Amino acid sequence: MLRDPITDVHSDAWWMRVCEGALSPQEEADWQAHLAQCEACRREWTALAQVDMLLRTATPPPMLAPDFTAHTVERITHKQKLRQMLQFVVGALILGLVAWIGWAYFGAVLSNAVRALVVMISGRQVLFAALMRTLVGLAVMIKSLLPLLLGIAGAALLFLTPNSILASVMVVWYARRKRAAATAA
Amino acid sequence: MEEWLLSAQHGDEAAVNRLVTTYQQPVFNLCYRMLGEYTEAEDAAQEALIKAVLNLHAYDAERPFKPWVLRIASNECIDRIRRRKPVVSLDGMGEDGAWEWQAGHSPNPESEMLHHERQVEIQEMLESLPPLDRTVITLFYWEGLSYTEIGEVTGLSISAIKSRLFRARRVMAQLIVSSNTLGSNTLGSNTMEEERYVA
Repeated sequence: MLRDPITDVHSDAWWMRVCEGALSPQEEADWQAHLAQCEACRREWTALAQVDMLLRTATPPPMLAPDFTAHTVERITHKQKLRQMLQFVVGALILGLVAWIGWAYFGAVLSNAVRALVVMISGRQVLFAALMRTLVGLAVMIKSLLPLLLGIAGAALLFLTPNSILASVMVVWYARRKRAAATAA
Repeated sequence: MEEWLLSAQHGDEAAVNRLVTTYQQPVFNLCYRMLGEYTEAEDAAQEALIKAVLNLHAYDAERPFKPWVLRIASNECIDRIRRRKPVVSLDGMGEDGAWEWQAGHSPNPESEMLHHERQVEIQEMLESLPPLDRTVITLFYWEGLSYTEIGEVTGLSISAIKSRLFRARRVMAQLIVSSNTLGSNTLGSNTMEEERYVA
């Protein structure tokens, strides 16, 4: 038959209640009666009481050395500075690594983009230079074709406006004839 | 988070100084009880305080600070205990390596000797416990922390803390019983018999 661990005076649960002073008056009386009869429990209870007395009356540990605080604070501040420096170095390394990986993967794209950006910036200069080259080229070409151009222009003028030329020739002929007659008279 | 803790986090030396000054003794006390040796306890306390300041960003400002810093100290000590190789403590040992009892300062050398032996006995009993039980005992008896606060430090539930406390006391009691059986009891008389010891 199983015994209830709470009321079994040999169970750990009972002994823990005894140590905590959690027994009812009736249980306390039963416990004292049991101790009077049971040599093993009495011996253990006495030993537990001795342990408790020893622990409660133990002298406190010695005091710390006077320089303990200063030495500890010094070590802490040193470690904090070291940690900050380490964090900075690690951060810089990570940044460098990310930049390196980024350049390896996206370097070509970035390079093209940079080039395009340069072209955009220098576009105006390029356009101006091209315009100037075109004008110079045109001037050179015009100089070499000038006689032909003048001939074509004269022919066009003659072809397009024959009456005005004929009139001009007649006026010039009449003016010369009048001058010759005046000279003869 | 309190303003000065925030300042300490950002490296303000005055705030760091205040933090260390406030918590160094409780942290050292825990380390000393856990490790049982002055120099190592001092070293562990310093490491714990350094870790606490450098990890202030992980501190939950809604919770009390002392259990948090004691938790760091407890973890530091448990790590050291696990790494520890069997060594002989040099506390109280002379330059020639022989045990040296420093007489002359105490008006009552016999009681001083008895007191020293009791401290050694307590330390031996503590060292017979698993590290976490040692932490629980230390915080309960010498730091005066409540079950809830011990739970904050150790991450245990209240019932687990009670259970561990009882188990640790029982282990130590068995040591006393066995030392009584061997006739080498230095723990005092049986005047505490039948004493109800926990309120």
